[in-house]
Amino acid sequence: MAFNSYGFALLFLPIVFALYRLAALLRGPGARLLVVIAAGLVFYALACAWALPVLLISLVGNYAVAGRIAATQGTTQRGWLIFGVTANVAALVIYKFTGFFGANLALVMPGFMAAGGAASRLWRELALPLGISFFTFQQISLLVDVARGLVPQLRPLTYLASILFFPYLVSGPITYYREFAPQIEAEPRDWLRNGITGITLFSVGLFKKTLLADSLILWVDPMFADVATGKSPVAVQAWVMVAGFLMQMYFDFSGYSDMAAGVARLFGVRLPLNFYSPMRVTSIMDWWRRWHMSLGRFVNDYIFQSLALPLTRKAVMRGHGRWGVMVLGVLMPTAVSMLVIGAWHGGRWTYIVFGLLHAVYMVVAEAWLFWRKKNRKHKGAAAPSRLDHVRGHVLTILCVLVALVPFRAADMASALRIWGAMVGFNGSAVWLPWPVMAPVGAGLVAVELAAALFIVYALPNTAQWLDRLDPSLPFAGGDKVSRGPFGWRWRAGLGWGLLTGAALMLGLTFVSRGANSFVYFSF
Amino acid sequence: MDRYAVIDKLMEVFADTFDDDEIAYRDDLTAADVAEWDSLSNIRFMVAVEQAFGRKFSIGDWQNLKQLGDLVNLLAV
Repeated sequence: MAFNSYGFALLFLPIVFALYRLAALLRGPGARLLVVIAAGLVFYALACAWALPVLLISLVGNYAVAGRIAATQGTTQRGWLIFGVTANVAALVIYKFTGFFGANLALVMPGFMAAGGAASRLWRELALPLGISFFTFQQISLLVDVARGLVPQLRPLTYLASILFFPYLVSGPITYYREFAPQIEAEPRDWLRNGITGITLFSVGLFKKTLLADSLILWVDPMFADVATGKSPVAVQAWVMVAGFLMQMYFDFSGYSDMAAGVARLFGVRLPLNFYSPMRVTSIMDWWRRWHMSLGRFVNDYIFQSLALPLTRKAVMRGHGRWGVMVLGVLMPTAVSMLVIGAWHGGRWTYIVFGLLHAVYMVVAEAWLFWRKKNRKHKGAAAPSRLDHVRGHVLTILCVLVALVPFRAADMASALRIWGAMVGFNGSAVWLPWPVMAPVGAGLVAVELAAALFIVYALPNTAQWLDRLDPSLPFAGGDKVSRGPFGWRWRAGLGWGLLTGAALMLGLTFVSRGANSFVYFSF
Repeated sequence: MDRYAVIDKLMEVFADTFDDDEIAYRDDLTAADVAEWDSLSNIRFMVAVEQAFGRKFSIGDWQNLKQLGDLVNLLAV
């Protein structure tokens, strides 16, 4: 069941919310948690009933392992942690990569993988349990946090609620147990403030999804589908379709994230941010701090740090110079983290290439920054100027667009055709004859793109606009990001109230247009 | 080791890692107060502190620290 459906917005959510309030009034914390758990199970069963056993096994198994980790110490504890993390990663790899390995085995060993044979049946594409990439990462974060001593107490009902909390169950943001538990266990207060914040966030998110993202998809999708059939776009079209996809995915996923945050807030829970004006960054490091932030944060906390600390120790102890420490302690863990981000999206070469490109970007950017800092100190060069920031911004967005091509393309052959077109292999003149443009028209495409760019560059982001309502868990880098030329801030009153109502009504009206699925539901 | 000695030694490592001799010690100093203190220099800082004090901490120990004063408490034990 998607947030942008009438069934969810007008039936499921109001019923669950009413039950939750009733439980809070009449029974107390245990009953509230039971409502959350039951709602999560029903939500999951309605969306993906066949995978319910997978979710239940993950819940029971991880709770048992977390208990062992909490109860043991030293090497025994380490053993349980390694077992738990390995089992979770194995589940992800099996579901996401079996078909990928099979397809590549078939290329290398066609005889072994003959159609209809035992091997080809074993290594076939498996159906993906909804949300497995998200709840599995949450489980891993819990196991590691218990081992790191960051989770003082693991109560069974709170644990179940922390994974089954339906606002983030199937698509994030990846929220840590230690962030969720104290909020859901606390006696709910501020129903009014939470209600206003929740409904406002939900309305903005629905608007972004059903009006903005679902309008862009009307021409973005056919263009990519056309390329998948073997056609080649010309230069302008290639750039427009990739930029259009970036905007579509941003409004889709940040809209989803706003809605998730809004629904969670109705239950008194603030979620971590997923986006913070990622289109206004000046470096690729900044991009990963502000795009799909909960994933970037997870990778930083559990992969980068776990690698960087021991590797840096090793480099320092072996007396490697500053560059040695940099390569071993920073660049290598960075590259691994980026590859994991790419592969996490699924078993396809296109995602691997996406991760590889970002690994290269990050390594080059980190090394460049390190080299420049050292130089600046020796030669006393000036700090980065405004022009440097503009240059950094343009280069970052170019890199993002280039890496987005394989991310969206149906296969690597399509990606190569689009890249070829972007550098002008197919000429630059013919725009209109491309068949899929006919029903929309270049004029409308230009207007939509311009409007989208205006929103992401000039308007404050949702968290900035609603800062008086504390819409999310704190984000350390937020203060340094400008609010844009208008600097709008929400305040209680008729104006913003009417606007929110209009956004909600428009959003609900456009739900019926279709394109119901969110981009990130497939990961 | 007494608290003042820890702070003296810690601030030497601090100045060296972040290339900043100007910053004075405060219990509530955090990464937000130091321009050069990002996730990368943080790792270097962690290892430099471990080296200087001849101690080794887990990532959990490090994550539990909210401000510089917490690190001093940890080192003074």
